[in-house]
Amino acid sequence: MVRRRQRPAAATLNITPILDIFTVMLIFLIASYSPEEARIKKSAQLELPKSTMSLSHVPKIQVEVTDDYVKVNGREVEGVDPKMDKNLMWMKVREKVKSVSKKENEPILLMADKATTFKHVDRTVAHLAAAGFGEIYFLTERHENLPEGTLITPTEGGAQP
Amino acid sequence: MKRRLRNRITSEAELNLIPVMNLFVGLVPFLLLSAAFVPLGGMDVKIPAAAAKEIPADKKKDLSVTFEIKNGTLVIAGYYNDFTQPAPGVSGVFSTNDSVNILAYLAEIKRNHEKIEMSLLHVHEDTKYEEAIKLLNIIRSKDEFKNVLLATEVVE
Repeated sequence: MVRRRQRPAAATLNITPILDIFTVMLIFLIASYSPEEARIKKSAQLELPKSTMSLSHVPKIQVEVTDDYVKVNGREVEGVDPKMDKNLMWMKVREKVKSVSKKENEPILLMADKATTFKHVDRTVAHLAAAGFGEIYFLTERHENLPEGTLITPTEGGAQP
Repeated sequence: MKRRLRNRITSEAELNLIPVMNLFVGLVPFLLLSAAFVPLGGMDVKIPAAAAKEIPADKKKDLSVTFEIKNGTLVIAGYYNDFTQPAPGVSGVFSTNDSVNILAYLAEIKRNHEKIEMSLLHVHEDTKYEEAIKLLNIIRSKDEFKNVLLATEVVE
């Protein structure tokens, strides 16, 4: 008796589960897509403070401040140490912001880590104001359901009634 | 003549998934990269015109309120006449964690004064940014203090 060698059946790829996943992900991502928020370029390690306020619009000029550096539109301004109060050094920040602005008193989005000493933020804001930019937006993490009077304790985390 | 019915062998139309997959492979990574999974908010603050200048003077008898954040406390004080005359009865010191009493005091200021001309926030240099934002959020939750000005250091 001659046995016929059967060809192994070609393996077929079942793409139904992949399509299921992609469809659900796509619907979710389209629903949550916000072109305004996508324009915000902040460093990944930056932890923002919380607030209940929402951002009405995203300014084009974005300044990021920590205890160690100042960035304008994602690029660190060389030679600037927020801990120092040398006017010459801060002139670089003013010049950089003026070079990226298209009109006078353009609003600025200020991003700072929640652990940043306010003095450094204050100094940055003061120099921006002296350069003619008096409209500053502080970027925060929004908590919509925060009832009035509920605080976030910095060290413990979580909301307290 | 009988027409022979031909058995038509109809092949089922196959669904071409390549364009759909192209769409998914292109759109999903783009949307994933641009997605912000943490809702972002913001607070706009106004700064007195050019930090080197003094705060412009205004009406005489309208109340102006100052908020000072220092060493874990919030000091609230009221003034008349361009911050030259302290307003009697408008003075309070609160812990920065005491949001309930802060809000109650702000509501009381609002009840006792017809108009609040200006409010100014000064944050002591050693305060953490998070604490300043937290208190600014509380102060701005009252409409009368929505336009609180941030007093910064004077620079040239």
